[in-house]
Amino acid sequence: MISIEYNKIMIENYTAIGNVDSHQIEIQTKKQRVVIRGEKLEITAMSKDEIAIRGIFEAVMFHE
Amino acid sequence: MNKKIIGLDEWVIHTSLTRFLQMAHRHDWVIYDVHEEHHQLRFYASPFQRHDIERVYETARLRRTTGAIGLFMRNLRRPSRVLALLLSCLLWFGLSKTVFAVEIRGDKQESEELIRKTLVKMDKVPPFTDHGVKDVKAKLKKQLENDIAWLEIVKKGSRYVIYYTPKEFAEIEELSHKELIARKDAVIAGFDLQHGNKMFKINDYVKKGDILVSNIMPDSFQKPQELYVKGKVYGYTWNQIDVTMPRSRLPKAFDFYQLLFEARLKISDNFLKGDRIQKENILQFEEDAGTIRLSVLYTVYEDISTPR
Repeated sequence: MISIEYNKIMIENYTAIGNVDSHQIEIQTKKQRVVIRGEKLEITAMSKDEIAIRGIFEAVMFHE
Repeated sequence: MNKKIIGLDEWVIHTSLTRFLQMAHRHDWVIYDVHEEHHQLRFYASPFQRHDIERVYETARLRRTTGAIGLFMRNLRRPSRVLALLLSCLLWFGLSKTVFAVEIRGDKQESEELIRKTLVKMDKVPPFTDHGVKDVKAKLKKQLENDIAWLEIVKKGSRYVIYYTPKEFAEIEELSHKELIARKDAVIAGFDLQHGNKMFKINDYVKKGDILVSNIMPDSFQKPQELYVKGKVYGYTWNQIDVTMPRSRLPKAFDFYQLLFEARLKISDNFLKGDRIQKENILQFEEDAGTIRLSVLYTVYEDISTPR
């Protein structure tokens, strides 16, 4: 599940992490790959099942 | 709640962000605020994950531990702080088990003194160690069962507060055989008599010194029998009160009332319970050479048997 607020995104039940930098973060969930693009992206919290991202979001893309 | 307030380890490692995050996911670490700055990564993690992180990243540098856990751990490393902590625990425990004052609340001074003396006998003089309120209460109750009707002890901080109610005993009144004699001339207005032989009736005129209630009464064989005498005899008496004052600048009515109140105060000066002014007759109110005089005749209903 993905929750999006003003400058925060929470992704639950993710399975893997792809490339991560301050402009793009790739997260693999069970069914798709989520790509978040923006500025000043950072991981605020991460656990086994959840990941929280903060920053200025320009695009959130879902790939099969 | 912000977990940093509770306590998190702040780490610095030299590795790429992507690789670190993948490693963290693999090892099920919970991490916070991951930042990449000056070619190194900074992040926060729970102190319970410390060994795991050190094992995986041998070159990882622990900068500090935040929050309450950090403060606690830093203090435990200093012997003086540990000693201070132990002493404060001992003091806390010791003080909480000590009674420093005993407060006694009740009506009767004698009962309070008795309770204090009993506490001294029981060796409960402050400061003493508190072994429980129930024990002290039970012992006090047993020792004072003849004097105290109800007793309760409440511990408030380092004080014992003892509440009590003294036992009430009926007072046995001793009757006397002394006759009731008129203290002044009067007309009998009424009797409040429990024992005795009335010598007059209502509206009789009596003189000072007359026996109002006798302690002798003839029985059916006309033999005199001695009686107890107890009670009061009320009568109407007459008294003239004269009061004066220098003439003042105020209207005469003010002077009059001032003198009147003065007269009333004078007549009622030695009134007993039940006495009252029955009638007030103004005889005279005049001014003479700068002095105002008021004469009042009072009819007073008073106890003429009790000495004042």
